[in-house]
Amino acid sequence: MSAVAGDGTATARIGISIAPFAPLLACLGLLAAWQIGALLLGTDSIPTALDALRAVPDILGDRSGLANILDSIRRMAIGLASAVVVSIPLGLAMGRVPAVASFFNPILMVTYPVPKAALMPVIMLWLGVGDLSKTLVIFLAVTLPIIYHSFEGAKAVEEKMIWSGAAMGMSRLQIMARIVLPAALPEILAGCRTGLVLALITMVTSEMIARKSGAGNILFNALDMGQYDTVFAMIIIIGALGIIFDAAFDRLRRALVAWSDTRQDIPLSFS
Amino acid sequence: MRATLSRDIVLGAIPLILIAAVWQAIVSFGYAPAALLPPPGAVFVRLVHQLGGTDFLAQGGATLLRLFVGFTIAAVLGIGIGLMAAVHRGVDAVVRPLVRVLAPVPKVALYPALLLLLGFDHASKIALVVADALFPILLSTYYGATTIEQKLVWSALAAGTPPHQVLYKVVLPAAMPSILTGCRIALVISCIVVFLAEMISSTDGLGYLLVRAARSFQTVDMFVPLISISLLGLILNALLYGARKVLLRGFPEV
Amino acid sequence: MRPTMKRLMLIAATAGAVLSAGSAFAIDTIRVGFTIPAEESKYWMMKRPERFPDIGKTYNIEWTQFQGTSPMTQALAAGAVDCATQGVLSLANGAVNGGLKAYIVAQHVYEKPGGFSVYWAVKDDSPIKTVADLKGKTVGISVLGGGTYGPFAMILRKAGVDPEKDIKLVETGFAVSEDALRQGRVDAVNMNQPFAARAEAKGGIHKLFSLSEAMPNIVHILEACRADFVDKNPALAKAYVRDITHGMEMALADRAETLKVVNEVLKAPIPVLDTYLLKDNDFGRDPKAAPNFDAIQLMLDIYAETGMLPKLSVRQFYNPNVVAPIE
Repeated sequence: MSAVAGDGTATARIGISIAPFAPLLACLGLLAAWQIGALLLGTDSIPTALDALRAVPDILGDRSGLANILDSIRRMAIGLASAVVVSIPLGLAMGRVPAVASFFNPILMVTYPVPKAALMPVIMLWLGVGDLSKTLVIFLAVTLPIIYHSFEGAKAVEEKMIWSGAAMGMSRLQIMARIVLPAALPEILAGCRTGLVLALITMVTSEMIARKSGAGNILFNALDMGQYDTVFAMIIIIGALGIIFDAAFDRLRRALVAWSDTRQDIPLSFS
Repeated sequence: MRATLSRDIVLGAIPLILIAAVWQAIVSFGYAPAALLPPPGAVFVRLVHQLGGTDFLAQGGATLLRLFVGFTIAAVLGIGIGLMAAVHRGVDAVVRPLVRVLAPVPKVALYPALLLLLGFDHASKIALVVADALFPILLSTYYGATTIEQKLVWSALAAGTPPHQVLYKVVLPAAMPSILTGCRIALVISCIVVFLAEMISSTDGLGYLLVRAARSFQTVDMFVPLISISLLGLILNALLYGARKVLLRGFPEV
Repeated sequence: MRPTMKRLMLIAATAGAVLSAGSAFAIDTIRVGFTIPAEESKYWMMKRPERFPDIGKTYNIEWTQFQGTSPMTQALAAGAVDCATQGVLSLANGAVNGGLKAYIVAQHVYEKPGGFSVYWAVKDDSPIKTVADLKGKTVGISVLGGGTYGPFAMILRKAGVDPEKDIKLVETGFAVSEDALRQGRVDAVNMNQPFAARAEAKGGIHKLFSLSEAMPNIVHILEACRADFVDKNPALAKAYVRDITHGMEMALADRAETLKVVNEVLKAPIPVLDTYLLKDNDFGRDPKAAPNFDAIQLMLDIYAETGMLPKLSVRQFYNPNVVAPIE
């Protein structure tokens, strides 16, 4: 038993000492694996990591390239924000009121698996080919995880807390806002994090079939033309955006749920 | 119990019927030409008709196979890696930054590379499904496993449970609600991605049927695969609900 | 329809109404769909608008890029764009099954005799020496059921190969076709510019047969406008077609500048473009972007013969008032 404990602390100490460099090391490892893999394969469609990295400044240095990426981020922000506003109340209501869950569950499972790309003709008919249809696609992708995580979070709220709220004379709406929402917040934020990932992905894929501007515009253009350096450079840029947004989100999350967890960052030390 | 079940079914059916009604109304009142949006009746008749033939079933079978294999691999990897990262500092240090970088990558951009590496058949499509379905499961598992109460682990260890058993006797069950939520999200994503992969480059599957019909403006034939994937979503939802009931005995039920 | 979706559509409708009310005071805007890689005249209009007297002054163009011609047919049918690039087959499909009424107003590229013709390539060490050898092989095609399929199927049938049963046909976009062939994922694959030029420069592959063996003067891409748009805005449509004519003239007259323009749109390096663009090994372009209706009729006949379409007359796509050349 003591041997196990000793192991644990040793791991922990190493963990701490490399912790600040771990992200960097992981990224370097990834790039190295990519470089070796690409060299071994030797096909044009998979450039080496160095070739792709070299193409990054070309995109970011070009004013239109930067404008394109900002266009995508703008759509993503709007889609993400509206998804958060709509799906948290819906998810919480589904989690607390069984009838609401019964009402929405089948319809969500029927509509969500339909690939939006296949609905393009009808979407184009009503929403055109501009920002609106793309933002809708992002919105739909983001609502999926947030609704289900809010649902799960609300369901797991302890009945005792609801009862005490009711005993204090709170209305149902007050109970939702002041008891269920805070209690479910960590789970909701876990949903938002997945939502953020999906937002970044759909921000690009929504520009696959019809496009005017955006990160996907650059990426799919390059893909169509077989300019794979640019394709993978764009992938690197999107990966970097992922890190930035995720770090920002993590700060926000910590600020919001500081009361609930210090344990989030204490891995179970028995390995 | 039976009463609530039938009430659930009625409640769930209302929006579905509403959709069909709105759809029919849109067509009837000319808000969309039949060439872009066929009447729902025609689509369902064609679907029932095609379900009788072996060709359609074979195409659907190919899609289902890719969907299930891809989803299963993603679930095993996602839950495994998520749990390991949650309980082991070293794994966590590697996995966390990698997830941050890789999760938001639009995987469909890698599809041409996957085609060349794995060919045009099942493997490349399954790989795309795995790549897209993995991260929601991984993130949910990690979240679920890192937020369980430390007390649970300590008491299990104090009771003499060997550490490696704590993992699947305490951590895994406690993280289960979160894991299942992740699986549900990943399942929906798998449905979309398998379709997308088949639409981009394929010789069979429902996505191929769709794109073939779309190119020649056979709108009814185009909506048959779409409705199929919708109904599939409904069936998968029921299966997940069943799985939930079995796996989450003892959790608060709604 | 989910309530959130409904709400969104309501917002969309309101926003649309507000926007269109606002734009009533502005100059007319034409919504145009385009794709890559061979619409030089439109690329000029996009990247050098100052060289056209009307663009930005009497009318504006709103450009949207699409993945191939088939989504643009849907966009035309949905009224999401006014004019767009079309293939003969995609346009005909839209007319027959999609209720699309449109006019062919200009032509971008065709296969001129002696110029580039879309071809199927095999590796130099491939056992496939003739078309008949394709039996039992995996063959790549850029778009299943696309415009090249008609002549492709004709050539195979002539050689005694049933394109439906004797080969395995897989969709291989032009961009990956070279790699798919070299990696052995396909035994034969179709090639188009600029990918053909790049692959030929590298060597190791050669032409098995080209489409021109099935029929001459194949029209690959043309410009089509919705009939209701043209009928309602004849002056605007005419101005647009006049600029396509003008753009084609400038593109052919100033090759050096065209290389730059195409590079800005395609992002393909100029040295690669320089190996083929507007040279003998490129597609043909009519000097004034005039559509060759006879050649298009011939293609429609071939599609009818192969059973891809019912018999059609090109007349329904012809409007004598709005067709290049307009000077």
